[in-house]
Amino acid sequence: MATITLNAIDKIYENGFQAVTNLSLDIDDGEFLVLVGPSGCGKSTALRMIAGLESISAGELRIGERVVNDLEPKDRDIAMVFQSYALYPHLTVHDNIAFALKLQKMPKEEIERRVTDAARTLELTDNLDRKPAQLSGGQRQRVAMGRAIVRQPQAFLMDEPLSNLDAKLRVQMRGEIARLQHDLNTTTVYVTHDQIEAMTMGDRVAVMSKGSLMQVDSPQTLYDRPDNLFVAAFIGSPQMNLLRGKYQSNGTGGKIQLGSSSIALGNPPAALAQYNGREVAVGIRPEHLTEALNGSTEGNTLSGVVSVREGLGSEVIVHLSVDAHGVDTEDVRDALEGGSHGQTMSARLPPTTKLHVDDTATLNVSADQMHLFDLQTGLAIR
Amino acid sequence: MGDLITALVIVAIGIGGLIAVLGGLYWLTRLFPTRWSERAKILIFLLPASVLMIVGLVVPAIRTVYVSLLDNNSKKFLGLDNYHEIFTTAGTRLTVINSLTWVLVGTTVTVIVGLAVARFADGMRGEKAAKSAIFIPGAVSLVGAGVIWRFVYDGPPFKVGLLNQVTKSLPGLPNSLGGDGLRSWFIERGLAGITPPSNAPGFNTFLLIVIFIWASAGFATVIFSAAIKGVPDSLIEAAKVDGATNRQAFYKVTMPYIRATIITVATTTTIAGLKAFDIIAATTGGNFGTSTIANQFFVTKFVQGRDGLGSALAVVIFILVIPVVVLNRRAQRRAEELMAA
Repeated sequence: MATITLNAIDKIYENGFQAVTNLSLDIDDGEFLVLVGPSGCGKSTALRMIAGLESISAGELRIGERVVNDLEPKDRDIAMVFQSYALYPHLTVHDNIAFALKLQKMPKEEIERRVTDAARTLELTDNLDRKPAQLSGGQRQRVAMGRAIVRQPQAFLMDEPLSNLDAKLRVQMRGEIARLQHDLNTTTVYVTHDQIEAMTMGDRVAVMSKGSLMQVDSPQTLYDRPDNLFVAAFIGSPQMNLLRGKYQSNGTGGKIQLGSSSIALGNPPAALAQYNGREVAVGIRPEHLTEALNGSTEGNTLSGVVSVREGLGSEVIVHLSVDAHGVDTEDVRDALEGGSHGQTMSARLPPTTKLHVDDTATLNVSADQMHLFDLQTGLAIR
Repeated sequence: MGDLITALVIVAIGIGGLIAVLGGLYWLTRLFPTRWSERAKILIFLLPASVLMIVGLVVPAIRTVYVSLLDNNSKKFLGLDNYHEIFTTAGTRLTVINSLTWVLVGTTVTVIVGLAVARFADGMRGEKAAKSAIFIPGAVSLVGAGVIWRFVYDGPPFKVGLLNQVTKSLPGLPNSLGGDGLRSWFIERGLAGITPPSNAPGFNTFLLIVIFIWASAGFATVIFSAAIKGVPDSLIEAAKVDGATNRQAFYKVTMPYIRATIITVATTTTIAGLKAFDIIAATTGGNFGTSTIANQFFVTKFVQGRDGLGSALAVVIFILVIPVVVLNRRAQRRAEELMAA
């Protein structure tokens, strides 16, 4: 087990494309770090550089105390789980798991002991003599995990290991991998494009966009205090509502005009003062909108017409058309992979709500739970 | 002009005839009651091909087996005497041994050279040029290959032998290795003072096998190269992360993955080696102890007119090919099951 340190790492391909820019990360011993971002954000490239499968163009990579920039993958003592599992089709489950140990010329008894242990942990004991082609997707995934854990390496690297599984199995394996990592306490870097995987599995989550690190924090901090518009739009499902609003200061803290609604701010952040009279991006999580009693417009409210109602049993997601403009900057488009909200927003309401399609809804907004961002830089205003 | 018109007319008659036959067959199928018509269609359309197969392949094959049991005038029934003669007469027995040598050495070296070039050229600069260079000999007919290599191996009285020029230019080479540039490479069975016994393949046989390898390694390279490119990158990467060197990744992952391809190339090369005739006919004509079964078959049957013995030689080739084909089929099926994932 070891720490992994990325210090100002760049990856520039021969054709000039820069896949990773100035990436710095300190991954603690035993930590489960998730690299997340939309496709093409450089997260897989970063992982492959840690593995040694891609060369590092600039910067320094350490595993433990060693600088490993120029070490071959085989000399880095890391194990990797691939999206396609990459099981050796001609070998049995047993031999797949034992492959690395045999290469190390480990004594036979030790190999048997480790393979048996791993098979028991992963419930593969009955399948040790089968070939990968005879296994289900979930079992293949386990074999791939087994191949990694028998080696007791310095670190696990996982490249979207669950994306080839169906939804139900994915949820189950998500839990199992997190549990296994917790038990083994091995430093793990896990790449995914699925923010739910990122949020549920990681001790910390590093959000990447276009080759750069956007923010690295615990899942809850990312959710509660996104540093920028990209993270705000990327983390959370349904996504944070992002609207353009004009800030107007006055003696009591000021207000933000969202379309025809005016939201009074109780104690605005000091940095907001310089935005007086300018537009800012306003982020409101869907769960921070509540239905106003009897349509009362007292306090801070937003109104809109219900366009879609999605009943999920425990809650109802209501999509509204509002007269405020959605934020449509490049950051937001990237985070939503091309989509944008336009003039709609969503609210997470209790199942008792009586709102239906075409109703006009009035929702209370809690000004203290709003997130404010600079529209040009995308950075949080705090 | 007249010839052209004649040719066109003949082609037209051929195509028209084919259409007429197929149309006629189709019309025939419609005469059957509906519940038979599907089966009738299958039978009737299989008929022309089957007839050609039977007349052109099955009947001659059976007849060859039959003739191989008769004497050389196809009059008297001899049983297995012809086969007995093949394996007891020194001359014909050597052809069998030579053929097996062709298969063993030719196939092994072809597969190794093909794999090596495919592996080391893969992803390198100049890969295409290298592969083209090694593939070109495969496009030359084997007779052509034989003629080309005659210019390499020729000895006195001819003065064009390239190999002699090379050995002559190398200082300190004994005359037995062509140091005087006067060695008859095709004729001399021994090398460097060692003469193989008359019932073993001579050095000149190996020189002929070199021609075979030269002509077939290109094909092997191209096929192996395509197979190696078909190995998923992630498998090789997984092996490297698991601690494999490039060499270990090749032997433990790539080779098993392309096993079916290796077997296919090995079998086709083996069969080509068993049928080796053109190279020998174009170089030594089977003299100086270089004849193979296929060459001996041609000489015995068509030059000497000994039908019984010639047919028996043909049957021996056929029997030797059978296990190769069976093995190939079995290995293919196994590989398909493995890769079904």
